[in-house]
Amino acid sequence: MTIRFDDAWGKGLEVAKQAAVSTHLDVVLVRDVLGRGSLVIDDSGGEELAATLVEALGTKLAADAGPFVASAPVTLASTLFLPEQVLRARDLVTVQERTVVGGQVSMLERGLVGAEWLRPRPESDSERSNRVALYGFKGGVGRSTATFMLAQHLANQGRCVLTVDLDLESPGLGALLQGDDDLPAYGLVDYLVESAVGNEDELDLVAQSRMVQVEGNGEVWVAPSGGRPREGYDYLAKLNRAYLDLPWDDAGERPTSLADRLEAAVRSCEAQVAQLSRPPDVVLLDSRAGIHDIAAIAITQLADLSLLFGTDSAPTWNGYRALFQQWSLVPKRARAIRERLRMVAAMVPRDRREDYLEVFRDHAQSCFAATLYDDVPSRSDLEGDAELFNPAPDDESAPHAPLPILFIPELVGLDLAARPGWHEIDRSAYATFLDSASELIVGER
Amino acid sequence: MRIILSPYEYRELIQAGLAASTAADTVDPQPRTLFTPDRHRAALEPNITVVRGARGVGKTFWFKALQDGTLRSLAADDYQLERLKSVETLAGYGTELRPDVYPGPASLGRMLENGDDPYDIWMAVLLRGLGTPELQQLSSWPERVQWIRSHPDEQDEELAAADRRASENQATQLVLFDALDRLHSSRERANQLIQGILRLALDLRTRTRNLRAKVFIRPDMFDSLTLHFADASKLTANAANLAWSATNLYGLLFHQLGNADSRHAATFRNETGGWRSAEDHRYVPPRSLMGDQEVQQEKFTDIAGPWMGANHRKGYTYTWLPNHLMDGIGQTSPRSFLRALTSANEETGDKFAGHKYALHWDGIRRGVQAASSTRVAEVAEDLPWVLTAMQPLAGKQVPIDRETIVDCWLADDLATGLSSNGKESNESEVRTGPRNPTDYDAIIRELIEIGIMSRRTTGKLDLPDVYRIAFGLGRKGGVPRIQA
Repeated sequence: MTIRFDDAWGKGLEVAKQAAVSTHLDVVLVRDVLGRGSLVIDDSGGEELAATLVEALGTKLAADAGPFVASAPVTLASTLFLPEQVLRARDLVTVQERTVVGGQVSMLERGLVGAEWLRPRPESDSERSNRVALYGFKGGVGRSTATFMLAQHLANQGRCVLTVDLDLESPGLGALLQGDDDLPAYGLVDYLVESAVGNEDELDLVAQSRMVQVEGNGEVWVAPSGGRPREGYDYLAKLNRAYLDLPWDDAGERPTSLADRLEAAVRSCEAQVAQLSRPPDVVLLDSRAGIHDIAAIAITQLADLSLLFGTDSAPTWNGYRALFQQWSLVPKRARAIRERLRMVAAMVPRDRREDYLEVFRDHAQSCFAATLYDDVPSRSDLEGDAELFNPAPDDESAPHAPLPILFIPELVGLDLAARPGWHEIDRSAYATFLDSASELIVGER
Repeated sequence: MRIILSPYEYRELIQAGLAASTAADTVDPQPRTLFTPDRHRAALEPNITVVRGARGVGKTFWFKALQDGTLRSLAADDYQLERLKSVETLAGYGTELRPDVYPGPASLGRMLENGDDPYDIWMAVLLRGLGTPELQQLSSWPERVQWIRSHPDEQDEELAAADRRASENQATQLVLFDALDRLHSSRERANQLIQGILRLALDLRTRTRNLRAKVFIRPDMFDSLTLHFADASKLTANAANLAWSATNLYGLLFHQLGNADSRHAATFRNETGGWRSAEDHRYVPPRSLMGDQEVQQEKFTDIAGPWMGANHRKGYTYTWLPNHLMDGIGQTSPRSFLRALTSANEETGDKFAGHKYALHWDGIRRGVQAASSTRVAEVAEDLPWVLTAMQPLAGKQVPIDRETIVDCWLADDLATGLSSNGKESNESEVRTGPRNPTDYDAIIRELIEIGIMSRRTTGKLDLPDVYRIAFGLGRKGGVPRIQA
């Protein structure tokens, strides 16, 4: 039977686990850009390995993984020029901890896109403001409109809200919140490009929104993806360079991965709002759709809470399942991230709202349970059961429990930014979403 | 100066206030612990005949309390339901075996086999209770029923006389029926007996001014009855429901704390303020503490902290607790609620004694686990067939396919197991079985009706955690359990 890409990875992992037992050493399974696997065995402690054992493992991997095996299936770390680039790579994911019977098993993805989904979130520091990512696996479900409404809702509670347009490929939030003339001179792409060469100081990245009407002491600020449109301002040329992961600079000090630069960009926007007015209470990150590194960074590393938009459709659930599976490979990661997620049911049909949400909830529950919730064994002792996280389908506080936004036909296919006064639309469609989201974000409706 | 209880003192108070009310055996209602949730007022009104209530919501509690003058009078005050004070009661059927007052299951079964009309049986119970001398003199129920059948005119006269006496006393004569799942092991036979009770109840309404019946019955039993007699809809239309809202549950908690046999009870009452002192050292909480969610949440936050974890994203203790005790039809039994709290209390005392609040969120989580056993024990008491049906499923995980369930039942030969359920030799163990013990899809439907299972939109079946845990089922998930 032909071994395909999907099978090769699981087989490779099995061989890696066997290797960790037979050698008693740590083993890393590396997958290169073509998807070919190889084992790196950590013999840096000076352990002697029998050549026959190494060869047997290589033969086994080659047999099990078919065409998806590297030309050198097994490499000893002691023979590598820079072993720490594998053994201590930042994207190294531990699959199995060291035990009495064998070494640690890890994997390392050398992919083109997608590594960010696997990167761990840095330790959160308490000084940071309350960051919320709004993400949809599929676009066109009203995410940016919801971001606008949420910003206004929170501002009406008297809070200072910063909205960041991370949808660099198809920016839109900036225009929703601000007329072109009132946009700041620069945007996120500028920060990403300038920071790569250490030139990011004194970029004006934020402006207070003039479009959002706020009651009371609240404020809404906008950090657009691009700056004010003007002669000589080339968005595309910058966008093409924005996503690069750069090699560390000579001093090894400058943050150079895309994630680090995005984090720095958001921090910089926060600092600018703090300087111009007051520190933002809430930062809303309007993330782009699809499996993209920007979205991955926003959800796994920038945000304290991610609102995941979707309609009840097979593409939505297949997409989220694929996404969640990336995290479920490593139980520790799944545990860290699942309680920071919450589904949003977008475009809920008004006339059959209850039925629709019930189906949505069950599909969401299946999707979360299969990938991110703990397996609760039957007849588990009561002690153990309480520790495990697997909320029942009807649990209103569960990540899969949808916050509903009702369908507004008037919004379909509308260029909102070109229609002043569009936000006079029927707000009742957002009422439940705004109350519940606000309670999750700031603990107040 | 307001004195606030410390976490340690709160734990002592909870221990003292809730210990008795969560004991496995039914505790007879006491003046001090009589709690009157707003939703239950309708159930006590003399003119309401049918009171629907699931297992564990208080049918038997009110059946007993209504027969006690002191408790009736306290309830009348709490509910401002003066008429309750001029009620005279007699028991038509109940959990206790009282062959002098009403026939037991064995006797009922024999009379049905002999072709006696259930209406006549209950008329005999009523008239005997009202003091008809001919019935008092006869020594067995079949004889009394025989007398009823052969004396239709005397029957009418006796009813009219009792109606007159009640009118002279300005009283309502109330005959109470409870424990209808203990009439007969066969659902069909039980239904015939219940139809007889309801026909009598309707007759009293139409033929007398002051004689009334009150029938406490499980909703699934009542709803599955096909009432063949005229005007049956009158009973359905004004039926009352015994249910517990989250606010009621917290009202109960605060009531028990304020009436606890503990030196901290007085401090607690001062702390919350506005308590009314009634007879017998009973204290009635202010309306706000019984019915205002914000006031309740604030108070409960003093006891358990605001959140189910380190921050607000983990959910609020006040809403989390009752939500996680709900069955498939959204009901929470007060005993399981109190059990969860006592268990959370012990757990916190053992493991988190230094916590800022009396109850720690991990303790509350454990409490919910413990409450599952309480809930399952409650159900097993009235519906032992549910236990028989659920045992073969232990070891499975939910959500579960209908086919998997049926396979388990086939392998276990559930149909045989259920039919042997009805063969109890001991009268006090008689319980009504499922409507159709041989039709497995019908059994699933019945389990859904009583809230044990729920059918998801995916077609799969699920169990609310309050049942899942103690029935020994797991929940499917993609993240393997941490290896120790």
